[in-house]
Amino acid sequence: MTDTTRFLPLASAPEPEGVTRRSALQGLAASLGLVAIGPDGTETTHPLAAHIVQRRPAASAKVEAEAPRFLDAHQLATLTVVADLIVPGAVASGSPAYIDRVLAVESPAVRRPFVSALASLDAAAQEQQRTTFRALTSAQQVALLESQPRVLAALKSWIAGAHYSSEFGMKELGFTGTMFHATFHACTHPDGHA
Amino acid sequence: MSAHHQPDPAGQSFDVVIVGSGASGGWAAKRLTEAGLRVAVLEAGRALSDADYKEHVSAYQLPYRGRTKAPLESAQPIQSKSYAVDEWNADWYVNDNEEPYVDESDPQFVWVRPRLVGGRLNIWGRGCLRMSDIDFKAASHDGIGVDWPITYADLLPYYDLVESYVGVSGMKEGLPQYPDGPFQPPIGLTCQEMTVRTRVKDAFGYTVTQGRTANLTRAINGRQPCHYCGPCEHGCVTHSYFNAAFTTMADALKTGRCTLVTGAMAYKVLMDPDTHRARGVLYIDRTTRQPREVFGRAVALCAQSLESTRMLFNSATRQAPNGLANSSGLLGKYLMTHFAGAGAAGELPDVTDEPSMGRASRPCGLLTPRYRNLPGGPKTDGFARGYALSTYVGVGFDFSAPGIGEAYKSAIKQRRPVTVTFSGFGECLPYADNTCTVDPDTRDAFGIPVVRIRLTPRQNELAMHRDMATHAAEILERIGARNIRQTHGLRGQAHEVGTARMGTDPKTSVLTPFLQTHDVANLFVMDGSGFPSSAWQNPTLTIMALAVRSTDYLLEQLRAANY
Repeated sequence: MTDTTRFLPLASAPEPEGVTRRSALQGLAASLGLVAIGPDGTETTHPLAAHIVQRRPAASAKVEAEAPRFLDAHQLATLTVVADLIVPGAVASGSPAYIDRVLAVESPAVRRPFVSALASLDAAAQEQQRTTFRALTSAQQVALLESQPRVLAALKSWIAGAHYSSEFGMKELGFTGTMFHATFHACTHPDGHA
Repeated sequence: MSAHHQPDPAGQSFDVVIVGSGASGGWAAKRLTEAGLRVAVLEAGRALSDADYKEHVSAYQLPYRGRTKAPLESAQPIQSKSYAVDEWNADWYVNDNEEPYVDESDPQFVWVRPRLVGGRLNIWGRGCLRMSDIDFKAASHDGIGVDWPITYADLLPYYDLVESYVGVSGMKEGLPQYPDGPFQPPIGLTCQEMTVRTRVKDAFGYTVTQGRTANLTRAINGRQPCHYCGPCEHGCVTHSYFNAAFTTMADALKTGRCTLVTGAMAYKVLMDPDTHRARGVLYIDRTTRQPREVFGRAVALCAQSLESTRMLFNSATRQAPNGLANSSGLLGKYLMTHFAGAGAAGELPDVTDEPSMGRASRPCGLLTPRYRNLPGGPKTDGFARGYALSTYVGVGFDFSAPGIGEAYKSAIKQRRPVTVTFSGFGECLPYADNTCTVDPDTRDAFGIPVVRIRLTPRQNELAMHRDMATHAAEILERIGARNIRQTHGLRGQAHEVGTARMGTDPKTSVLTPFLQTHDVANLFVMDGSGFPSSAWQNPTLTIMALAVRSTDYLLEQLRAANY
């Protein structure tokens, strides 16, 4: 039965230091029985072996270079500021552009709360400082966020969701980039647990 | 298995024409061709090769990272509702606009259909659970429905054969309601899961075990053990999970006696009005929309319950105006599935773990097998039969942790109490008005009348659902969980069975115990249509065992030149 609560993508055993990509591939292939040693010592790798890692990305799908599809320039700029405040590194990992891409295809029921939360930042900044959120100092922005827990929660879920589904964000959470585990981390204690 | 060019088989004659290349069709093709017979397999979908599998494609390589289904909703408003359909594999499934169905179920029944060689085995949950005489003879004990016309002893050699070939990883538990098999070594439970297993056993006597899963831990036939990369339903280049595409169908094709016709929309069984025997199958070529016929000494419908039943209704003749093989009037009736979506979750404050995206992903959860209404035990108030609890023990990242900045990023990774989740799925009783028929006024893009379905849970199912939630909450409380919350959802799983039930009396059944139609001696229906009851167990293992048994019988008939 499928565990529908596990989150994707899923990951692998850490590569030992100094292992090259090629030798890691050969190691993986060998452990899968996909490398044969001929009588003269040459190695033949089964075509399957290449496929095991053939879809490893050279770089993440470039999201940042495109023009926004849903947000306007001001919204995107505001999102860029608040993203790095809540989740440092979220901009470098392409989060604002990814969020914009998702909003561009999503339903009004999904779009509306996001647009409202983002606009609430400006509304609060207007009330407190008669200016936009972007124009506040960092300290003022942090204080404003902390004073608006529901707005913060809404934006946090989008920004964390975007950052931690990027390659960079996943690596911060332990993802190592390869997909092979020889074993599962099963309990080895002989008497079980209470 | 590569997509190879087949010469057009239209007009050719075979020993057996098989409709469907999935759980039952793959076994029928393998067993018949390995015995020296020639078969045609008609498959509505296409063949995939290893190059099409995407289990190693990380989410961030996809435009939407698999986090929204909105882009799928126009072409696949129904398919996209399934957990098994996502940005990786949506193109494996029907276009709901091309292949609609009429749904009278309440709640709506999501009918999931891939269109691939291997059928739903490409994307199934891989749960392999044996039924027992508790299930086969349940009607004798509680008076509901009818018994199966077979016993566990009848099916045991076939369960053994199928499980040995499939490769099922599991733990032997000695439970009469959940019989053991020749398992491959278990993948194993984590320390936290072992704690839950011990506590539940001590508190209630229930067993929490590894889900028995069609994933290898030992190599078989060139298939490699699982390397725990994640989503089997995106494919598997190491052939570590069980999929007919690279097992039974591959074996059949290797004999040289199997003609696989992809893109074949099977429409009708062709009958000889004089002999009252099946002659073959009419299908529509998916690409050209041209009708085609293939002929056989026998026909085996293996298209999945709703599709096979649809074919029988669409095969109505003057001699059989209410559908082929329907002299009993029961074709299409007693449709069942398992209903799921109810349960409970809570945290164990003294059992903690650190979340990580760096770990192996086990391709199965845990299972707490049926504990209600068992022989020798108390009868449960309020409902008959029983259910099991899919069980999960683990910890995720706390993305809703308070704070911002580096403090937030640090907080989300902290070690914290594991969450224990129980999610029930249970037996559905047979109701004569839960039905699969066809709508003669609505045709799919190929001109074939579509399925009309009513699969509505009734009192027994709803009462069982309430128990799934409330009793799961009791279990959680007794094992020390906090923050216990119940879920009261209700959704039908993709386990449709029962629309051509088997029996010994042609007046009260459609199929014999060997899945031969009573009315047409050389016509078989080998998928889940024949189940007289749904039991609580996922049906696929039993479908495969029954199909092998049925094929053995068919083989005997063909060798005796009975047709």
